[in-house]
Amino acid sequence: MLSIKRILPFTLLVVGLIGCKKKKEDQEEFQKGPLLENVGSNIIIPSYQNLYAKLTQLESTYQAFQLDLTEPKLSDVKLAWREAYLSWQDAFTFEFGPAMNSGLRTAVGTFPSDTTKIMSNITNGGYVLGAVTNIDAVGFSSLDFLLYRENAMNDFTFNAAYRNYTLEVIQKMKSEAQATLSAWNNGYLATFKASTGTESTSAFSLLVNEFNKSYEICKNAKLGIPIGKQSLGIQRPEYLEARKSAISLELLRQSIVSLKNLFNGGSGVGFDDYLNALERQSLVTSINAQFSAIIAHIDGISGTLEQEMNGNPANLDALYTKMQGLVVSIKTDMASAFGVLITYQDNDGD
Amino acid sequence: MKAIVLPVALGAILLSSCKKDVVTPTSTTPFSFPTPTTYVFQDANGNSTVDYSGQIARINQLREMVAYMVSGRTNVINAQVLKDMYANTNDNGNGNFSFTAVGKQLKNKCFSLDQNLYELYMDSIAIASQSFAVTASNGVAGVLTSGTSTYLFNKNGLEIQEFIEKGIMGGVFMHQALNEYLGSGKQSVDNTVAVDPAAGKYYTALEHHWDEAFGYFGVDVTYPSVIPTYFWGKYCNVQDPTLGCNKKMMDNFLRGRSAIAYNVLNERTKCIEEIRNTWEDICAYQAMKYMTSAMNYFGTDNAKYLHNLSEAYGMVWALRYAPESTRNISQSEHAALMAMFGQNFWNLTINDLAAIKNAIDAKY
Repeated sequence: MLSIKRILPFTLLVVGLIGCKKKKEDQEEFQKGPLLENVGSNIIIPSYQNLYAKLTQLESTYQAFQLDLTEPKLSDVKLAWREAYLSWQDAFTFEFGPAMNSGLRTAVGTFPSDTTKIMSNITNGGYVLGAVTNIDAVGFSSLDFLLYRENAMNDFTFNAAYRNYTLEVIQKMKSEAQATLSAWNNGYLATFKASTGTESTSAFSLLVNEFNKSYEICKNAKLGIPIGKQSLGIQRPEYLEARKSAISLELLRQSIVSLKNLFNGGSGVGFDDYLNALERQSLVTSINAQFSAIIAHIDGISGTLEQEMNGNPANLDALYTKMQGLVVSIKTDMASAFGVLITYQDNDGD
Repeated sequence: MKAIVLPVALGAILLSSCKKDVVTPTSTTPFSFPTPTTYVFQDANGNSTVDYSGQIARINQLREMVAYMVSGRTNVINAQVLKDMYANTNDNGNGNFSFTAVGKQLKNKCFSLDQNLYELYMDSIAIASQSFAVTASNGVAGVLTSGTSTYLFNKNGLEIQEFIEKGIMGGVFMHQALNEYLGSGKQSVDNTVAVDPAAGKYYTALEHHWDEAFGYFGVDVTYPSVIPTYFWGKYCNVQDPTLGCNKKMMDNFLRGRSAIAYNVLNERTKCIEEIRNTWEDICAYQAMKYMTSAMNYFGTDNAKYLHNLSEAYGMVWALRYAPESTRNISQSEHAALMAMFGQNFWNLTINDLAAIKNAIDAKY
C-alpha cells in the first residue's frame, strides 16, 4: 500500500521530464541577471532611498514641532509620518540581506503596538528601544499611538519624556533605514545581481519568497486578522494597522500597488518577463488582472477600513477572497514555474 | 529523507525547463480504496497507526469537571479547583483529577478569545453554589428540584454548569477538531513518512492530525455500535433519527482517514466538508430540541424549564465555533441570537422562547 502511492508520482514526473527535454533546446534560457539588476537598482535601492528621505523629513518636521509645540506643527508631523509610512509599504518586501541583518521589518513595521508598554517606557525611562522586548513599542505603529492618541498634544506640551521617546523612535527608524540603504550601496547590490540560481539561498529565490511572504502579510495581517479570518469570523479591530490615524486602507492599498509594481519589474525586467519567457503569458495576464481587481476593490471603499468592518463586512470578505485567490497564482503557479521552492512557513490559520 | 528530496528536485528541473503545466498526480489519479467499518488502521506491518490518547484525556478531564460542578448542587464548590482542572495544573488538575495526563490541558486548546471567559463562569458557579441550600427564584441564586433531579442556578436562572460544559465542548472539542486538526494548516503536513516508528508512532503527521480530530468527536472505534453517555457522540446519537448523523459522521471519519492512508487527498477534503456540516447541524438541532423541551416545561416545572433553557443557551453558544467557511450563521447573526436570551431567564416569555427557536430553525 505504501509503495504504490509513492511510486506513482515519481513515474509521472520522470515521464514528464523526458517528454519536455527536447523543447528546451529551442527555448532560449531566460537570463535572471538583468531581472535582478533592474529590481535591485531601480526598485529596491530607490525604495530605501525614499524611505530614508521620508524619515529624514519626518525627523526635521518633528524637531520643528519640538521648538513650536502647536497643533498646526503637530499636523505637519502627522503628514510627514503618513508619507514615511506609505514609503515603507514600498520597502518592506525586501527582508533579506541587509534588511534581514538589521531586522528592519520587525523594527519598523511591527503592529499593533503594546500601548501600555510605550507609556510605561516613557514613565519609567531606562528602556532600550532596540531590545527584543520593545519590538512592539517602536516603529511606525508606535507613532500612530504617540501622535494620534487623545491626549497627545497635552503630553507633547508638558511631558519631556514623551517628546524624547517620540524623537528616539523616529531617529531609530531613520538610522535603520540608512544602514540598510548603505549596505545595498556598498556591496550587496553586486552580490544580489550575481546570485541568479534557484537554490534556496540565492538572491532570486529570496526575492520570490519575500514577494510571496509580503503579499501574505498584507492579506493576513493588514486585512484577514482584523476582519476575523483567524478567529472564526469574530472581528478583531484592535489588530488593525494604524487604527488611531485610520490610514489602514491606504497602507494596504499602497502595499498591493507596490507588489504589483515589483511583479512587473516597474518599467523594466520583472517576474512577468520571466514568465513570458517560459511561455506562461496567461499566468502573467491573470496575476495582473487579479492585482488590478484587488486595487479596484479597495478604491471602491469610501470610508476607513474600520468603518467598513462595521458597516459592510461582507464587502471586506469579498476583498479577502480576491486576495486569497492571488496566492495560488503567485505562490504555487509562479514559484513552481520558476523552480523556486517556497521555504517560509505561513501562519495562515484559516 | 531521500523520498522527500527527490520528487522536489525532479519537479524543480521539470518545472523550470518545461512550459507545460504539471498536474499533481494525487489530485487526478482515479483511485478506489477500501474503507474499513471500524476506526482501526494499520501500516503494512500490522502496527496500529491510530493514536488519540490526548483527546481521550481531555474528554475525561471535562467529565470530571462536570462531576465536580454537579457537586455544587449540594455543596459549596471552589472556583480555583475548576481552574486547576481546566489548566491541568501539575498535570493532574492540581490533584483534582483521578488521573495524570502530562501536558494535556483544556484551557490552552480552547479558542483563544474565550480561554478566560470560562474562568469567569467558574467564579460565578462557585458563588452560586454558596446558595445550594436556598430555593432559586427570580433574582435569587439557588437550587430547584424536579422529581429526583436537582439543579443549581444563578440569580438569573442560568445553570452555569451547562454553559461551561457546552462551551468547552464547542470551544475545545469542536473547535480543535473542525478548525485546527481538519483545518488547512494541519491538513497540509507530511503524509509520506512515519513520525517515529522507534517510539511506536507508525502514523504520518497527516494521519495523526485526522485521528486527533476523530478523538475529539469522542466515540468508540465501533460507533454507533457503542454509544457514549457524554458529549458529542451522545448528542450525535440523539439527533440521529432526524439527521442520520451517526452514519454520516462515522462514515466520513473512516473514509477520510482511509483516503489519507491511500493519499487520495481530494476525497479527504470532501469528507472534511461533510464532517463540518454535520457536526454543526448536530449542535444546532440539539439546541432546538432543548428549546422545545424548555417550552414544554414553561409554567409547569421551573427546574426543568431553566435546566433545558440553559442547555439550549450553551448549545447555541457553541455554534460560534463552527468553521467560518461552512457555518450557516454569521458571527453578527449569532451575536443577535445570543442576545435574544436576554439577561435574565426568569423574565423570558413563551413568545420569546418561540422566537429563539424559530431564529435557529431559520438557519438550519
